[in-house]
Amino acid sequence: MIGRDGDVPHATDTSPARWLEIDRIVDGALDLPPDERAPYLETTCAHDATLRADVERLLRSCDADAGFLERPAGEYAAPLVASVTATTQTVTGMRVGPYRVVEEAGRGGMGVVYVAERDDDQYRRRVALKLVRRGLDDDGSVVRRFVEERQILASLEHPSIARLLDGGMTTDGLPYFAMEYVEGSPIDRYCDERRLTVDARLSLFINVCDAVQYAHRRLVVHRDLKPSNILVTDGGEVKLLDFGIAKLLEPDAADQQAPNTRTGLRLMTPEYASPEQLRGEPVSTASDVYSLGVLLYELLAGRRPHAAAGRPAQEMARARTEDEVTRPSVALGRAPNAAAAAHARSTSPERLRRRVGGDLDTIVLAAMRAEPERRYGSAEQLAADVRRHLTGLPVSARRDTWTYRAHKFVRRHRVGVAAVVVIVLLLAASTVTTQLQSARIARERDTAAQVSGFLVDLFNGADPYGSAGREVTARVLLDSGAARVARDLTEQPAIRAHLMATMGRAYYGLGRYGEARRLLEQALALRQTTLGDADTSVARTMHLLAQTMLDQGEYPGADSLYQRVLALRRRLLGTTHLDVAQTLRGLGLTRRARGDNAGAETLLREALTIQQARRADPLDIATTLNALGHVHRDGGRYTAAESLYRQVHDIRHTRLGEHHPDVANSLVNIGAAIASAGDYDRAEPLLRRGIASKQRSLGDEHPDVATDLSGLASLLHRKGELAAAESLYRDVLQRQRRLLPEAHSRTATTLLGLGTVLVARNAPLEAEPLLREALAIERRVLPAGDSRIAEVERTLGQCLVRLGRDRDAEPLLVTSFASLQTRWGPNDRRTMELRQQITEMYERLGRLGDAARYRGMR
Amino acid sequence: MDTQSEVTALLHEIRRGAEGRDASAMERLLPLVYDDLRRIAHRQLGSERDGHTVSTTALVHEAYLRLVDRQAGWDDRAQFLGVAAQAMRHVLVDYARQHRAAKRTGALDQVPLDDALLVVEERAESLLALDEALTRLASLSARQGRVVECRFFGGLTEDETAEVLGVTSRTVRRDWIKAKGWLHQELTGMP
Repeated sequence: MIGRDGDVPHATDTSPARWLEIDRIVDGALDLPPDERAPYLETTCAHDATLRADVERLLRSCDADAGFLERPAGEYAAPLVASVTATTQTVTGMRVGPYRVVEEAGRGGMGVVYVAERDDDQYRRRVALKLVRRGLDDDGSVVRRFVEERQILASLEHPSIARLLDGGMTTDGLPYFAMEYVEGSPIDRYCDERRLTVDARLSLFINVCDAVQYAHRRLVVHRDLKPSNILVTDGGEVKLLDFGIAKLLEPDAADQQAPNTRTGLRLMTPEYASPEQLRGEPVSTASDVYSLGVLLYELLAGRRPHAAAGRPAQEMARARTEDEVTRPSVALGRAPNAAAAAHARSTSPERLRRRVGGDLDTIVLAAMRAEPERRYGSAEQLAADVRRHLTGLPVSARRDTWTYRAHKFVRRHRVGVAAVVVIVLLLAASTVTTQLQSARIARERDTAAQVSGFLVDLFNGADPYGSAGREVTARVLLDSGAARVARDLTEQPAIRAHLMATMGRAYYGLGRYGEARRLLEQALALRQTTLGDADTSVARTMHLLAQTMLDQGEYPGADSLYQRVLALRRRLLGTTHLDVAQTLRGLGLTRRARGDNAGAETLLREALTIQQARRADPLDIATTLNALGHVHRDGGRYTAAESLYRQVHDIRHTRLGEHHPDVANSLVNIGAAIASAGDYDRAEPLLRRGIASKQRSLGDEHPDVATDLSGLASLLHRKGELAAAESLYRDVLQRQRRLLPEAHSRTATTLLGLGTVLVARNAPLEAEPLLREALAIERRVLPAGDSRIAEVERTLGQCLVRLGRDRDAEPLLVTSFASLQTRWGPNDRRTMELRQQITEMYERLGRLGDAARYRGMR
Repeated sequence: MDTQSEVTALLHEIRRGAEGRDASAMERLLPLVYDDLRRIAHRQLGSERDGHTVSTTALVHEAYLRLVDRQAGWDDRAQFLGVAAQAMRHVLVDYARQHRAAKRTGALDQVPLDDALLVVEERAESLLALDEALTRLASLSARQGRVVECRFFGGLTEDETAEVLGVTSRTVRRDWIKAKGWLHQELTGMP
């Protein structure tokens, strides 16, 4: 709607007179169809490049965001008006249901809390009246749910839980709740004001846990535990407010399917919310345990573990899953207010840090683990550990193991496949460790120790925390792993093969195809030596190797290897196994790369059928749909391709969140399909968004980023922005020369693109060597007769014609014409244009018979 | 004089002041409309949930029905809608300013930042930014500035806007596209 990107300088510093001129030219351009605008601007702005740039920028902007300012202002501003209205309202004397408001008691995320009295109550019993500020469902569902759950909530009778007395809907349609009125201070303030020691704080915290546990036993989850909901009375009694309220106000369970559309309604406090809660996933007692962990952290360290909100929920959830939480004792050491924190705990900073370090650090972090199943199983267990600590017994919580931290470390680097792989690595280690427990053979134990030792060294060496904050990338980790695996474990070929294969896969995920291939080939050789050919792990390594070859552009090699894997897997696993589908897909993609569209489609459909019948993971199905999308696009069925790509995007977006490279890929694909259909203006922002997202997640130095940029350059070319296209192509070419093996098909595509732009910009001399290189590559990697070779031949031929070298151009144009005519059809604009060029060429060469032959062709 | 007659009289005065636009009549009319719109906005927008709000269009037309004589002519209506759109802009931008002020004075400190408040925050800042950008646009092209006021803030249709500004609907459509383009560029720094 209205967007704003921080401190962007004003796009234009224009005088009214200048604006008038721009305005007039833009007017003229808007009258024209998009493809006629470039020539128009060429003439109108011929004298003034700045003017043209301004005009073009404005034109792009006019086309850019269709939704901008189209939503009525009132609707857009409604939440703002509501918020300001609520803040400024005076309500004393206001009647809410049977209650009369006495005064405002406070405000929370949910709404305003008033002190109220029951109008008809002769005893004038005071209640806390919570008025939900936000407009919620006005169809009465809140009240209905309240009535349904009222019995449960009313049954919560615990000295430390404030009773829920009543609830309903105001005349304005806002839900309200009447609760036992509690006079007290939020627990954090209570502790600080009284300068409670760590021990005293822990005792209070145990009381909180007990109350939470009581409710959990009755299957009521709080969902919004935080200091302002935990009051302590002057007598030192803990009182929890709002138990179960958040759930009452939560949208129906059905809506949880689409958390993204309802984020505005989710009731929680981001600083205290667990990752699953932030993601909008179903909330359980484990989520309360997480919030208790955050509370304990704050009571001990005097600050919250997570930075204040202000970021999108998904983003915070990701950070909470991937980043390590600073231990409370470390936070105390760093805090600028360390002295104040110690003072509030009646101790010295140094003593406080030592007191909190060790057990308490461990307890807090165990409660705050990202994965619900890895936290304390209940509030009771958490309380029990705190009790054990208070009585000097050893606590049950364990520090995160190195394996766990390695998981987290790798996940932080967001290299999807690499992460999966290293987890596989670790699983391998733990499998061996499990074997160890039942092991009777000493050699097995040695093996296990060696593998774990190997991994421990690896991760210790690469641990960014262990090495003074030096950022270690997954790359570095892998490189050191690959170096070690080449030296170590020579006596254990099976384990060595396993490690090599998994690391090969990780390299593949990083786009380092050369390293990947080397390791995979070694792993495959080792496996074949020890296991023979007929083994699923051999098939797996072969499959991966084929995939790497496909990405390296070695299509014939990939094709025959995939065929071998397919036969092998069908024999070992049956014809409808999901692994067979995976290989079918790989082979399909290879056929597509080799220009065999029909063959590719058959293979992909077979893969899809297996996957659907076997209920494969939606993400895996998405990959196949995506490949089918490519096939449609190649076949010129752009709308079908776009709709497949959109399906893929939605599946991935739901499952992976917005920032995953696969989601970015989908954006790029949708954009590419739209661009192929000729709608460049709609395509460009999608491409740019996708590429930017990939640069963030994969890093700028990833071959996929280069490929996408090449696609963007092609789009710019087609839009008529030749200069921009040229410079982007040059940039891409440099990247690909750095990142891809020599003579890669993708590099050839870029060379062709750049060559074409240069010819169009009247620089055929510069274009020629580039096009020749492209041709050499394509002739090497593509099967003879592939139309993509013909496309390069055509462009090179046209380039030579421009250079006046008709004789050199002749064989190229003629061969390419034969192939392209079949591909495009005789009446395609491009076919006719090429035929015309050949005719003219023959005329210049004086070969009138040949010229007549081409002219006469229909 | 009751409000209705006063508003109608002011409208006439503005029109008699012709193209030069009678500044003093305008100055007196705007606050009247402003107050009324603010009251309606407070009631309508303030209590309903996001996405189910009464549109500004309805607010502006409601204000017209309440503030202008039944006898008033078609020209008055156009005149009024133009003023109302402008007033609506002030109303919404003032809400944004109030929100900012409340934040500065700490009135909102007790409210933990939640998703809903983030939305409020974002909209307040966006509206203020839009308001500034719109002022800059008006210095380049006063008419385009008015078109944005009428279309976006007033929720007026193309034809109503044309009526207000005394230009053709086609001109309004064009101005609207160009003004949005300019503002978009201005607000995002990106075309």
